[in-house]
Amino acid sequence: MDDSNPLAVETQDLTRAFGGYLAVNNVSLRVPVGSFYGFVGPNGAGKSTTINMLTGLRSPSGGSARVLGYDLATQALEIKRRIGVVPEGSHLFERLTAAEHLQFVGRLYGLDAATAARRTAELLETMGLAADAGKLVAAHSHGMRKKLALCCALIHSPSLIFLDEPFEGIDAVATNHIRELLARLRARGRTTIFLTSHVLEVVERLCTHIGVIDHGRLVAQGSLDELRRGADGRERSLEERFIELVSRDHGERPGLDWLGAEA
Amino acid sequence: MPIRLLLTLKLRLLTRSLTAGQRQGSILWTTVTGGVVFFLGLMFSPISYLAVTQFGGSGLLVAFGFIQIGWLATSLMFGTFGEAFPLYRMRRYPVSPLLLQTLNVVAFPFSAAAIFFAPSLGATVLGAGTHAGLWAACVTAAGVLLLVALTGALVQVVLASEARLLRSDWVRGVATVVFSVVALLPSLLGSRLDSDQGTGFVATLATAVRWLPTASLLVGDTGHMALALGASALLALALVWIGAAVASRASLESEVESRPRRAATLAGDPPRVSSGRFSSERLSPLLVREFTSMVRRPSLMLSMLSVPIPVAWLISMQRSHPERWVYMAAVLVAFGAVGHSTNQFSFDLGGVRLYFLLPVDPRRVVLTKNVLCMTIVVVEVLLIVATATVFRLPLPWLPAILAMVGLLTALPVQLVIGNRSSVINAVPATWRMGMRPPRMDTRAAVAPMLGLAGVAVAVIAPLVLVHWIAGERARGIQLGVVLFECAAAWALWYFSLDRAARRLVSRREQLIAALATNEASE
Repeated sequence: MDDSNPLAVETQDLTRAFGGYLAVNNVSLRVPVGSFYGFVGPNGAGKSTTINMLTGLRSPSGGSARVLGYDLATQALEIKRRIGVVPEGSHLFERLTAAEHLQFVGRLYGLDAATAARRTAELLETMGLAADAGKLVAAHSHGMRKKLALCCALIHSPSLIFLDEPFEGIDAVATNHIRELLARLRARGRTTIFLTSHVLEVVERLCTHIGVIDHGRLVAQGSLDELRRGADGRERSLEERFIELVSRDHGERPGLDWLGAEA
Repeated sequence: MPIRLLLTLKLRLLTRSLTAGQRQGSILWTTVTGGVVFFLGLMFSPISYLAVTQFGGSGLLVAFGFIQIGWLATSLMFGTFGEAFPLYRMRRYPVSPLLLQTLNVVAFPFSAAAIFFAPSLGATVLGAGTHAGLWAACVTAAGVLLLVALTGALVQVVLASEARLLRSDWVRGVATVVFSVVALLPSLLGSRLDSDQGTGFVATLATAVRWLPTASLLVGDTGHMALALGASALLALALVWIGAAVASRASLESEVESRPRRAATLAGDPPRVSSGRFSSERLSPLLVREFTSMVRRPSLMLSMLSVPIPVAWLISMQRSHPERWVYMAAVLVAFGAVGHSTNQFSFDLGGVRLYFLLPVDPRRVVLTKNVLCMTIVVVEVLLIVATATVFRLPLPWLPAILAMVGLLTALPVQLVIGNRSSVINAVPATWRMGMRPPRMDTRAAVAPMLGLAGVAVAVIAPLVLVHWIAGERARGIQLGVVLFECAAAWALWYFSLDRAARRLVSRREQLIAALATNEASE
């Protein structure tokens, strides 16, 4: 990775323990400004915990982090003003309508009322939510909520966007829509995007940089090309490389030979 | 057959319902909690006994009626404490809904609520024996069994179709208010048992509960119990209701089929974009959001707007002593404030994450929540004044002022305590039919009541002392003392805000975990 680039996210030995279990273990991330960083790993690897620490939802047990040049421990409010987050699961107020919710979030990000209203209308239109703008969030489907959450993360034009499994549970049309939007953002190059996803095909298509986490440890990090080549210089697909990296510690698994046999 | 498996699961669900899901020490907790519930039920049982011994058949009818309403209400409100097999969740497994429904009905008498109502049912049998002899006791016992079977079947019918019948928050809220009103009636009955009007009143109540399946043919009996006839009718009705319980399987299936259609209808609603709700520069977006959400929460609105109901009841009981109901109304509002202040984030659910993701000063979050609680109290006080005006009751001005100042002293103390327990003991407002009550932190749950008791002592003790020393003429001093305490309480609240904000940030993980866990059901 080219270290001369300024970094949007820089962590040093970031650690999070739950009791005796180390969910994130001495992770040192380096996310260049303007990059589209894919943070991938198997289930329970520590992706969401890392994002939650970087966005202020969880406190680290150890280590340090700087986000957009601000110290996570002491300048959390400054960081929050400049980032947008789509966390895993719902994080919306259910008794507001989609339009009200977006305007509320926009105002909290410091937009004036007129700007918040204008951007709300534009975002809802872009995401195909305009027809449901007056409907309570409680009545929205999972996919609609995900789209609304993305709108909330974009309304203040953040310098850095964290997307935790943005494609989980949403239909193919919506996935394609969001993917196009993210590709447009990437093309402009001004916004840094930090994405976690299980869909490696999407990650490979969109991301410029990749970090692979397994059992709480960062097992690989670099540009997409660097990661695909690996140490031996042979080019592979991201999926092949990912399986190679994360299956080292998993050993032999049972073949489940009884499956398909007579009960 | 999975019957043994299901019965084991049923037993485990019952045990968990008594232990709030704690695995460790579950036997001890089951015994202790079951004992406490039984003791509480025992405290209420004399009402049933007195009703039957003093008013015979009519009394039995009323006792059965109230037990059935109470049992239905508690079972539905708490979803049978999570003990029942929710059909809509079990549908994915290869188990017959008929078998599940049958097990739900059969296991109904072995539920947490049954422990509470068992003493009252036993008291009716005892009362019938005392009133009309052994034969009457035996037949009443048979009636009790039928009542339990009927109630069980009825609960399962409603639970099976709850997604259709009780999906609306407003419907559930109105049902809660109705049940609350019904719950007030026994105390009214108790206050009149010794009066001449008692018999007539019981007869009226007996007529009022005629619609209940257990009431049936006992109506019209004025002194003797038409038990044999009544029991036969009850048996017939029991069969009808159990049949309805079985039929609820069809209800379930049609409910599942109708879901996509409902979703399509909702999606087709014309857009209602409300513009400018957050446009005013002068209003904090946080405050506007709180109030917008508040008016859309039926349970919150109904609990606030139904305050005149108990106040009207207080006034009817204490018409000749206006100063008494004034103080009691203040206590009522203070108790209501405990409920609102101790769980201030409950309606935010998964949305609570936004307070920590967005650039919001946590002190503003705490302050906004507190302002909402204050607003609720103000509205309730205004409603009480309006109720008194409607009832044309003179408001004794000095007691009214003292009560108001006392309430204003209690409120900030409640907010200080509430700001703590709202974070430490957050409970999501995701009550749904079939769900178990959420886990509670006992210390945090008890603290608000202790705080209220402390304020009561702090306010009342000096008043009594001043009155004892200086007599009636010392009202001015009393008012001064209470005003001083009030100012001190608000100062305490003001200086506690920073600490509350720090606690909110430091405990954010637990708060999110507590409130966002049920978001899938939302």
